[in-house]
Amino acid sequence: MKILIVGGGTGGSIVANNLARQLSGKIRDGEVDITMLSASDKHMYQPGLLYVAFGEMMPDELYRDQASLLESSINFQVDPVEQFKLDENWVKTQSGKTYDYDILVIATGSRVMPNKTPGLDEGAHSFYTEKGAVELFKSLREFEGGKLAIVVGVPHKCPIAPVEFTFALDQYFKDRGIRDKVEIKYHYPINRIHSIENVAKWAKPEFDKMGIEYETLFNVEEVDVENKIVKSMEGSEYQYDMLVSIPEHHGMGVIEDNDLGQNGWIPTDRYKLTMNGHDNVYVIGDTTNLPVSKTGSAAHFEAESVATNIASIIKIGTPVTEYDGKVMCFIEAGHEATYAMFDYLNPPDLKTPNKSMHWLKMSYNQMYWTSVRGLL
Amino acid sequence: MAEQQNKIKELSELETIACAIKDALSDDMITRLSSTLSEGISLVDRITRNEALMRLIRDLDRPENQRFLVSLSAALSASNKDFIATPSNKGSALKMYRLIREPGIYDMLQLLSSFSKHFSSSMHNKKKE
Repeated sequence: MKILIVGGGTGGSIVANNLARQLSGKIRDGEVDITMLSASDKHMYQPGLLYVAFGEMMPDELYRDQASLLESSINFQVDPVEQFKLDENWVKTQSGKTYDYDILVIATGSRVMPNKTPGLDEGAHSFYTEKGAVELFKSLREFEGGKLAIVVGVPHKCPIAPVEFTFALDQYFKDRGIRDKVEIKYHYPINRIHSIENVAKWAKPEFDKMGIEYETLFNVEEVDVENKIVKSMEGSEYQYDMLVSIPEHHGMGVIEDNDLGQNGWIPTDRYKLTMNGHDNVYVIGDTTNLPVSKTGSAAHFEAESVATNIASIIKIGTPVTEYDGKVMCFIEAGHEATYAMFDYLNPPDLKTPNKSMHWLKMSYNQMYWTSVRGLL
Repeated sequence: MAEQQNKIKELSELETIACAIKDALSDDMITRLSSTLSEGISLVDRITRNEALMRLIRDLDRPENQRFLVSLSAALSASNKDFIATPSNKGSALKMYRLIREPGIYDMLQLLSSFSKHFSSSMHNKKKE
């Protein structure tokens, strides 16, 4: 039985490690083979980029060698997939090799698309890449006052990020003693300040307390880089001194190029996590088109469910569990934090932020490596 | 009444300790502690799933093997001191003969011979498996 995992991010790594543990006997006996194909030999802890943007983490702290995170029984290859032949159960990679499989797991993730909006790439900072986060930090350090605008494109990875970033900005300028010289304005594309209703209800009074202005129904149409004006499709505009964007995301190019899903999001069964029309193809993490957050947390819980089911199908011929839409997100709010936990049926119920939750998040930033090894 | 006051005092002491810990800790300390814990968990996981290491730990648990290791450690330390104190000199067949006649050397050669025999036999058995 050949299991092929495409993508070495959070979801791909957890599913591979969990399978290697659950099927260790069969791997030893040569009945099961697990191969992972990844685009990189490095693994990045992406939520750490938010801390890099405020000088609280250094970029090198976010990386580990991918091979060091995987069970030794996993055949790990740095060779990105370029072609999927789902009807014939094989893929072709950049090096020209083909890999056939009995079970395929697609966990290729997502990418930012700032160039979809005129002027956004040139005119706005973003912390979704290492380079962007470092440049944003340098600009924030030089910022002595003025109008700072935050704009949000949808869909985007980590739905809590715009709110977290805004809270962190408020705290950063307070710590520097120049909060009264900075006008922070938050723009959001729908008619409330966050897509998750209870997060919006919770964040609004927090914004009011911090003196953060907000405008909803603001979908960025273009950025006039020369005059520093961001314009919305709804007709309003805002003149800024510094602009930070949470750019729109798409799935990876290889998914779009192979027509596996519109904008790179693969149509996925919300409970079984199989690709629609392909029972031996599983999709996890950002790559799905599911109505759940595109976060490491969702990828983690999905990976556990998929690994359990693949292992049980191999052992007893049937899946034993279903993904219930569970997501758990920490929300940093200055030097305090809270969390949002929700699933397909239950919306999040946010508690007042406190120091202990902030430390739990700090701890998780380190414990992530234990989690991705399949231990937590 | 006095008992209740004592309990309140104890609770207040506990709260003071909790507050002191909270005040003393910083984000950096939490990060370092968590990093150590994270790597520690990974290490323990690797050790406990490593058949060879677990066998070694089981064998080292036996008192006679612990005595062996203690002797080995003492011998390492003493021989290192001897080596540093002895000036380097040319070897010869006669010196080799004298060395072999020193008390304990023959015992050690016998031990090495026994180890080689068992090690070779175990390696051949593993090959057959």
